[in-house]
Amino acid sequence: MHELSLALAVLDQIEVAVQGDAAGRQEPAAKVQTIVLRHGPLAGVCRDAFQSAFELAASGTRAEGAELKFLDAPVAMRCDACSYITQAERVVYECGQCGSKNVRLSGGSEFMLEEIEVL
Amino acid sequence: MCGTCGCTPKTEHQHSDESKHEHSHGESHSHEPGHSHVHAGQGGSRLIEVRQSILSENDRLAAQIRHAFDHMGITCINIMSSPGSGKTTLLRKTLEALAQEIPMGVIVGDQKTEIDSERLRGTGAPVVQIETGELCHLDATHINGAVKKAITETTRLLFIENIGNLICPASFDLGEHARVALFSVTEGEEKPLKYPSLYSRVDLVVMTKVDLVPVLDFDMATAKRNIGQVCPSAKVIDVSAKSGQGLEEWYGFLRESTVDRSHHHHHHP
Repeated sequence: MHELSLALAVLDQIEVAVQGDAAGRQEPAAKVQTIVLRHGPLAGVCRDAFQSAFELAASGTRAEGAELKFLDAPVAMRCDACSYITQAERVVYECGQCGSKNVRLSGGSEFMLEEIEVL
Repeated sequence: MCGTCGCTPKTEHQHSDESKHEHSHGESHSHEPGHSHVHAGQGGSRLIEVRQSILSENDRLAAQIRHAFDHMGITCINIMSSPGSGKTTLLRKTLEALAQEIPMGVIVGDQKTEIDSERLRGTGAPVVQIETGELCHLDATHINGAVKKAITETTRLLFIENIGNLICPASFDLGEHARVALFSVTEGEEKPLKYPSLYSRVDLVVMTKVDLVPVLDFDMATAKRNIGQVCPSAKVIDVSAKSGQGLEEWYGFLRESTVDRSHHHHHHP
């Protein structure tokens, strides 16, 4: 629920990536076309709120107008007993393979900047 | 909806369960700047790989605050609950009971007034009030601004009494080492199920006002089952600040939490 703060953080990361990419070229990329984010349901981030916040924050920057693409990071529980990873819509404390309750969260709370497409 | 953190959907959509289960305070993977992989995209564009977790400014600051607490040997506890669950009363009892034993400090947040801080003063522990105005939660910036007035060189335990709110505070790391939720028996047993963002990420749930149980229809077993469903790792204790029941267990939790941090670097998964 602090999507604006996250949007500003993503813009900072994009700027670092663009400047890093610019080393060895004449100029940093002028425009960011696409931003790919990996997002899980347990990240505490609402995609729509992030979209709105990002549009606000990106205004006037090289990322203005960029398309946001979200890759799903599904909820995943790893079983201590049999190592099986159960994927589900919601957290379920039961292994899908052996039924053990000794499972721990191994995915679903990611919120990552995967890659950007620049021109 | 809160004007600060409201979600404004533009289209028909479904929200998935956004409860957090890890007791993480922000994942930190990092690449060195400039160390990125580039591929050709379509129409002359380039793809720049980043593969980096997005840490908000709040998470960054909270991590710094926690690091500073570790160096100073301070354990910080974030106390959250709905309004009226008994946070201030429990803290008052705690400050009185442990005054000679553990040097403590308090930061308390409310929309308005100094009422809570005034109730907590006079036991020897410094108390700082933050009035957040229209903001519905405390964040790391508040703590960063207030902490110097709430601690001394000998402080070992710092309480943050968060704003009475079961939603927004859950998302804001304040630099704490432990998160405690108060759950009063005058609330519904289903509270943990309805507010998973907060209840899934707590170390301890304190059932409060348990002296009232005989005159209520509150089903304690169901309430605890619900806590267990949403946060299996949470400890649960029953407390009545009024009768004194369970207070020693609460103090025991505080004593255990207050390890000598100056020699112990706190790790987060």
